[in-house]
Amino acid sequence: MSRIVIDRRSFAKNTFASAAGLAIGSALPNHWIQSLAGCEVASGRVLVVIQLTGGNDGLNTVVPYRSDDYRKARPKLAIGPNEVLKINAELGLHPAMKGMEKLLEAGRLCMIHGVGYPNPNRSHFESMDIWHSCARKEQRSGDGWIGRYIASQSASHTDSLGLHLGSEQQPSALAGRGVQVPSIASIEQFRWKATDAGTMRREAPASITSTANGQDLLDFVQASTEAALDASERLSRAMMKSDDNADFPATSLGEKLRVVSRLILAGLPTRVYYVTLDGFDTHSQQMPAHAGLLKQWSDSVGAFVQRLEMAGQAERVLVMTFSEFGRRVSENASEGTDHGAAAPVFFSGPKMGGFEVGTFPSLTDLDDGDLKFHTDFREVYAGVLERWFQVQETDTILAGKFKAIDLPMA
Amino acid sequence: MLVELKPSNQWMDHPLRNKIVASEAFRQIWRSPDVRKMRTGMLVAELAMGDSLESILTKLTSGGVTIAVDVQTEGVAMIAQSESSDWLKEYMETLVNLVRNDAKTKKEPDPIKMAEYRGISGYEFQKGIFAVIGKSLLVTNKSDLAKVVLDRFLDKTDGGLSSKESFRNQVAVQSARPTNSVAWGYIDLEEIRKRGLAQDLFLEKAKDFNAELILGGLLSTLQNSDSASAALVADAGSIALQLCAPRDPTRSEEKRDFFFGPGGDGAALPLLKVDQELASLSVYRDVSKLWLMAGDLFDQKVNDQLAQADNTLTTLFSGRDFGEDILGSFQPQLRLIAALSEREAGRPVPAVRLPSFALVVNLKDSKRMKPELKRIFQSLVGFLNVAGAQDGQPQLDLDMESFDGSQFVMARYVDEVDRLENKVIPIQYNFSPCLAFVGDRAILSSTVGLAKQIAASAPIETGLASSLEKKNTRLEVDAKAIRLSLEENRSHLVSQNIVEKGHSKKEAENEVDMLFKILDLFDKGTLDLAFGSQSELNVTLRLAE
Amino acid sequence: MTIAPSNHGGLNHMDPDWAWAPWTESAEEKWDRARVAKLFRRAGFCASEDTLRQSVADGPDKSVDQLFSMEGQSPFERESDGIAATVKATGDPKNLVTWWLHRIVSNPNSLLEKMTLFWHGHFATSAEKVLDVELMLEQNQLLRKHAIGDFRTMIHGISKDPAMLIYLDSVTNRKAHANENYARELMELFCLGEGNYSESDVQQLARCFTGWEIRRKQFRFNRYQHDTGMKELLGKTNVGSGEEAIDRVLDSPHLPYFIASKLFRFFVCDEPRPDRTLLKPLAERFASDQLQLQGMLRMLIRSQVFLSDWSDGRKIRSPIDLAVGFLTTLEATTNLERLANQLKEIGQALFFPPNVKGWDGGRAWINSSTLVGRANLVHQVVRDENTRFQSGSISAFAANQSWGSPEDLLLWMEQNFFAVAIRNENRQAIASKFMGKSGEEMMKEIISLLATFPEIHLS
Repeated sequence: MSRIVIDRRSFAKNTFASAAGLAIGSALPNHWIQSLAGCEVASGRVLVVIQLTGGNDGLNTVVPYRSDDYRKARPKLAIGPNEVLKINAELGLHPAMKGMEKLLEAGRLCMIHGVGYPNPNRSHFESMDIWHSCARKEQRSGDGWIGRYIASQSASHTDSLGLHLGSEQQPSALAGRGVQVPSIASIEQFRWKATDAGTMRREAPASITSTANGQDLLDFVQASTEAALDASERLSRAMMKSDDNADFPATSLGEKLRVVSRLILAGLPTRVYYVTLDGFDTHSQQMPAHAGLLKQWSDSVGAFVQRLEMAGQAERVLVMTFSEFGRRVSENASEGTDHGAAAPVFFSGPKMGGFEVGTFPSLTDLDDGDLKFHTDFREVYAGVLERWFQVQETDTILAGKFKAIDLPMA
Repeated sequence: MLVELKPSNQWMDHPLRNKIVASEAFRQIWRSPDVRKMRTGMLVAELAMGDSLESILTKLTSGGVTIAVDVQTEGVAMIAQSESSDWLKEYMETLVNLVRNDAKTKKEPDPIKMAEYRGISGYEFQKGIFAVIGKSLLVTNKSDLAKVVLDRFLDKTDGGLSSKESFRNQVAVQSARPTNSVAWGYIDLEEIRKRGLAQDLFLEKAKDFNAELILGGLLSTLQNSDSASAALVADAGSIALQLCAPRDPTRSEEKRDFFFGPGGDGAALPLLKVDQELASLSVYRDVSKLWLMAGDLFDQKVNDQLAQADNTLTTLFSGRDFGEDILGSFQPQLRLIAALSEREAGRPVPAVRLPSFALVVNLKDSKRMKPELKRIFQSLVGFLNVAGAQDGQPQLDLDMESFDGSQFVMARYVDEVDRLENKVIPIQYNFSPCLAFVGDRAILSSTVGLAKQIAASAPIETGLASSLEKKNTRLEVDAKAIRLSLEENRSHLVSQNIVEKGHSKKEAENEVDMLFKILDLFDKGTLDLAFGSQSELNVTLRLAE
Repeated sequence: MTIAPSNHGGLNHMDPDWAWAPWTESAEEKWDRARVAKLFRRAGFCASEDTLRQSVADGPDKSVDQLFSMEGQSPFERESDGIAATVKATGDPKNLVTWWLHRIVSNPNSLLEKMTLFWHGHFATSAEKVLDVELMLEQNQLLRKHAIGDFRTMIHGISKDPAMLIYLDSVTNRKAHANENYARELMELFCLGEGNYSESDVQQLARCFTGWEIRRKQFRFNRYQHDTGMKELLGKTNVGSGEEAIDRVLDSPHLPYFIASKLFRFFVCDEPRPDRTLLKPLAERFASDQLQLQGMLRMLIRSQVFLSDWSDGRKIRSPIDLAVGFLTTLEATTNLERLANQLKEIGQALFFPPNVKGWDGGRAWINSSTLVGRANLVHQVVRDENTRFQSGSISAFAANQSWGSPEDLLLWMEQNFFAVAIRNENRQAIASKFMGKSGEEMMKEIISLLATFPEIHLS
């Protein structure tokens, strides 16, 4: 911790001193340093959420390649034992998931089978909203589980705890009372274009009383400006570092994860990063499209974890991948699949004790043609909150009491 | 790199230049405040010289001007051959005094440094070096280059470009040309490639699909030729630019067959002509081959995108392989034409008027492909209707006609039943997509009118084709028609100008009208590409009467 | 400009009589540049140097009268109509933003545009769903027509507005199963506020609206679908048609307070909310004027609570306030298409409100990325090749305003554009950084830096 404080002090001093003609005192305001120290820079745990939008076909992602029921239900789409990347005698990964296979071999991948919720909803928006808010339409309050988690954290500036990277509308999982999670389409949006913007910032001297006219608003804007300048400074430093020869695939998800990796390695206090990958709604001609998407996801996450590993940071970053529902067991007439229910959730990053949690859903005991779930997704969230983030009380965050699953992380 | 300008008397009093100077557009620009400021500066210089600027320029360049870029020293040099050495000396002295006096009044130190090299005196001013050799003035930005040039001049040695074979070849080609050029230039491509400049142009595998499609042959030239030359020709009614580079036709790679044709034989058909045409393009491009050879031509990223597109398109064309079956169903000679839309009687006139476009291809097996393409066209219209209905857009009505041996499949936007009187007609009403078949020709047009015009124009061109010079690409653009097209939408151009540039209405109108006045100067423009023993690009601009 | 002015005991201990009395000059408060700048900042989108000077000379009554006058409209309206025609021709609702921005920037009557903006947020309708340029434009014109006029007519108009009903999924309302969407929003969001009506009121009102349809993008009354029975609404029986129902809602005693409260927040301060006691005079004025907006608005704008130093710095500028205010202060014009995009990025896409409640405003405008976006917007506008100041360069403008030194520029900006004083340290930092320098580049840099100060975001 002290290492970091000294770094920032000297860096900040250099910046201030280098601005021509500025006569600034050598001692930086005390509580500024403390607030940074309180942010657990470079040592806190991070969660990266990857949302696969459209309903990922879990059955062709983690493939029960030996099962006859599987082949019968999917004469055209079934992946055979010769193509699949075998995990064990029963299960294999889709052949496009080479990146994930490597992670599995390194013990850095874990899949939670059969995740879903009672009375599955097969509408994209509805089901995604349920995953985001942990509540059904009637009970919703407009915020999401990550937003509620951030709100529960008493950090000095909660708006730097979450970050959504992407140009789509911000997922409601990040919405929270009094919480502002920035959505940025690119790092450029965080770059202050005015030269020496950072050199003008100063803490408001204690002499200005808070009872003065409009001071609450001014204080608020001031504090927000400090936080924004802070974030931007870290970002520019991160971008300046030239050690970015990591090989990320040139796909949209690859690019996003590349940026996330740089931000994490730059020591941003952000705890939750959120990215999405769209296109999984494969109602027809599923084979080529699904393969392309799985390849994109798998390669990107593989490169991401590898990058972190190289920097020795892989143990503190957990990647969670989910989708709003799985797809039907039987294929349809257009060589695709329709909306389903239960599907696997994937964790990757740190070394795990095991590669799977739960049992693979039965292919015969179905819920109206769909796989039955046995793990409520909120139990998965509880696992993340309790085991990863050390949250004691998850009831308010999850809008209910849920028993955390046993994540196999060390 | 080298550029040579002919003696000033050849272009100073050129009819083209006179025409431009006399034009309304030029006069307005000449009177504009920014240019006025520049002119006052020039006036001061004129007074000091005791001579008009025009006259000075003429005298300074009476023997021609040569400009060269030297990669080694990263320097640029210009040599102007003036009227006489006496005049030049006097001129330089006046100039130097002017500058020095000006600095004195501003209380600044003398900005001119004197220098000498092997008996030739020179001046250094700001970043430039000036030297007088007889009646020639040398201006350069690098002293090393200055020394090299002076050395060569004094020692009368040959080195440099004149010793290069490629240069001598180009000079020979140039002097063999019938027309007289006003300026001539030479680029040493080999050098550029060696030094790794402009790498994107010389990539083994292209990054841009469209660039490769349109310019593949040129890119291949850039990669393989050792040099290129350009000549600027001007006569009373036009100016032309000719670019050429030597080419070894036997060395043509297979991957570029889509562009040059097998054995380099690919020739484009004569241009289509219709009334009020804006532009007409005719090319030889075997798109099917391009698609199939994508692996060799493009890098990983483009190939990934093409693979995705291929998936979608194959589905769209009901399982037929897009690259081989669909693209391969027509001959490599493609023609595109854009023309002013004619107004069909009884049809609503949209508020924004767009021109019509058409693509004409020759089918290889028209009997088999016609019903296929018809079906695909119909599904496309159906799809557009369903998607459009969700967005509240007007619907297309399908219709078929045949006469004179031609068949037309057309779709027109339905005029809304109880459309309000003052309602603005949306932009979609510019279009009435049409697919037509005339003999072996297939015409895909954005309006029925254009399709009918093209269908009517005689398809008996094969004979004509062989009598024309073989060109790979032909393009013709009609400035008058373009002006008409823009003028139809004048009010919209004005609105656009107001919001984009923050002008007042008056200012916007002035700017838009200025554009029209500039277009008034021109009549037609043409461009063609040919690949024989030379890669040749010719661009001509004809002026209005 | 004050840093710690007198406080009149906080909002909810404020004396309503004091608050709503017309502001008068006193020993502590003069009709000066700062006050006039605030008037235009809040009731419009800032003003040029000349306008500010003129207004100081005119005094409060004349200045407020000027705001409400509708002179000098015709040449501007013609220009605006030309642009509207082009926007309609393209068929793309996104271009509507540019059209409205042009109005906001150039309309001599900025109070009208500001009120239209208020109503646009109040009756939030998004082109994302409506999709039709003409319908969105018609709704905007409807709002503008009654923005400072008759609230009753406006509500009747908006209840039959195709864009509104499309947006609220109320294009049909059948008597067998009444559609409650519009009924609920009318009471909850537009007129009364939550808690001032009951669920049964919603159902009854929905019955009154049965037969109200949108067919072929026009309002139509389908008598076959209208529930002709008598309904009881908000305590009144024998309510028959939809029109009668609307009038019943408008008669509710909650209405004047609801509208007064929203206007108070929009003009006077973002937080805290005023209580009934404070709002009473304003609400009663609205009611006694038969829901005519002009009287109430005049009272609000001329009042002590609005014009006195108390309201200084108590609002956070919306993105439009910031951008257009900046342009108006510097008499600048720029590329409006680009500006529209930049405004969208910092959270205010006109014609595309985020949801039925419009824009939250206040603190919601500020977060890490919007702060950067706001500063970058000003930075970019200043450097845009299409930006001109008084139709010329910034140096020419500077010469006209006699900006001799960096301090002059800073002081001028502070007086004409800022709502609170810039902290001394930053003032000195700029002064010393640019000491002895001059030139166009320097001016642009100073302005860009000013935009990074937190003070610039307050109104």
